[in-house]
Amino acid sequence: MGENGGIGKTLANLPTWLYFGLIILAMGYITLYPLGFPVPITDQTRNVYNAIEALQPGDIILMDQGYGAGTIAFHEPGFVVVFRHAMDKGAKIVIVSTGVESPMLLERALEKIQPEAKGYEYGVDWVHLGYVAGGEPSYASILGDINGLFTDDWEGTSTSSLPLMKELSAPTNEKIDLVYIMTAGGDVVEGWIRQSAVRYDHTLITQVNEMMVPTILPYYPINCDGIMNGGVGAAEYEVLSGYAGEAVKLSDMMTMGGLVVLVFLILGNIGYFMTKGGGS
Amino acid sequence: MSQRTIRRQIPLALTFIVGMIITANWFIDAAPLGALSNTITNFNTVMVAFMMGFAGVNILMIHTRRIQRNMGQGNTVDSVYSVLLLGTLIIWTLLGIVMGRSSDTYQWLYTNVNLPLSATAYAATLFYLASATYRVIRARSTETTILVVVSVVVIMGNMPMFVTYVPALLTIKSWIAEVVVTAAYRAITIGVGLGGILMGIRTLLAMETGFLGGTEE
Repeated sequence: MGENGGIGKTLANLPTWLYFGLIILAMGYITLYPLGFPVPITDQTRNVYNAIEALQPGDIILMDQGYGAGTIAFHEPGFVVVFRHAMDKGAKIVIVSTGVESPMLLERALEKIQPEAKGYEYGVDWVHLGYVAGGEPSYASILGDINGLFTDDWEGTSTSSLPLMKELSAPTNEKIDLVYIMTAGGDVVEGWIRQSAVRYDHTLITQVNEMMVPTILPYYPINCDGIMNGGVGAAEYEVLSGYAGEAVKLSDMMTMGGLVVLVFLILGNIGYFMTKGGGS
Repeated sequence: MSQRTIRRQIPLALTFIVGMIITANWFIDAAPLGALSNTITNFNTVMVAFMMGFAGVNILMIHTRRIQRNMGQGNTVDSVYSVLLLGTLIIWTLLGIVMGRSSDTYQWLYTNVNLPLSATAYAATLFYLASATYRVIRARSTETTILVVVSVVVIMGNMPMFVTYVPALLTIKSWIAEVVVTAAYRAITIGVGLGGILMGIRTLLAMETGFLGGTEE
């Protein structure tokens, strides 16, 4: 017991600087020397891919680009790859933001997407309407009459001068073919599910933080057709679509992050059992 | 018009009318009703945007008072945070109004100041997550042993490194998430939904008046 207790006590009470230091070393190593593990595809992500794949040229996607700066590392790669895939299908894209800072993050993503390189013309093939306040009632407004809610786009151009917005005259919900929600906000997806998928039977797909997935699963796959599970989901989508990007590169880091948590979970429990005399 | 009418009866009547229009629009497919419902939800968006501006003014007042109080007590250290907050608030607001929210300067400042700070703060949660997992999740009882086992399986099931060599981990993780967790969460969601319906009916019938503030009957 004495020797076990000594090792056990050490394992059960590792100093903070040690495991914080190990985290930094592990993440630094994997950044410099990626291992390149294959990315297995889940049904949740495959359903997101299939929803985009089923689009016909001219179909309209309503995107809620609602992520913030904190979660940009895994939301942006997902947004970029879905946007590219949608352009391949010839779909038209309407972007709104339910996150107050989200419109500021679009410029970065567009530099990677390059819609004009695919012949996508602003106002005709895609629009960016910016932030909308008001939570769930605003989703109802968007689907009721989007032109009544947004009189200008993010740049201040009158929406009445944009051809794509003319296509979205009231009732807007009848012109929408797919709703794609990106958010780190707890009740945003549920609000869209109620206002869009339940009410108008829209196909709805979403990209959320990993910790939010359990809150969406009760609606999957009936009301929420597909779920992209954070950075892992984005990496899966990149593999499926053939657009290898940042998420695939980040998947090794995500693996290492999970490994670090796992190692400490096991070490803590080994230490606990050793100090308890093997669990007796 | 009495104070009671202004403070209580008019708001309750408005709540009833607005609530009935929005609810009826869900069930009745009629263009005029849809247009009226849209006008009300648009008004909600305008109100929330106004409240955000009001919140900004509120922050300004609270921290101005805090700076005055702390300076009066010779507590300059605590004032620094309030000064920083107010300075940032004022600079960002002025830049947004004068130069425009989509101007290059505003965009550059956001991308090079706010974005790295927010991303760093979020990324730092890994340290706290690892620390909390290490210190808290220990197999002290049957329940916590189940928690430890499930945690290990789910974490491994989320990692391509393990799933590549042990595909069953993905199946087990998916089963835990889509069957066990979803069953429990659906029950909670349905319960919350039923509670929401009851609360909605009580609010429409003026049986819930907490949102009016005060305790007057």
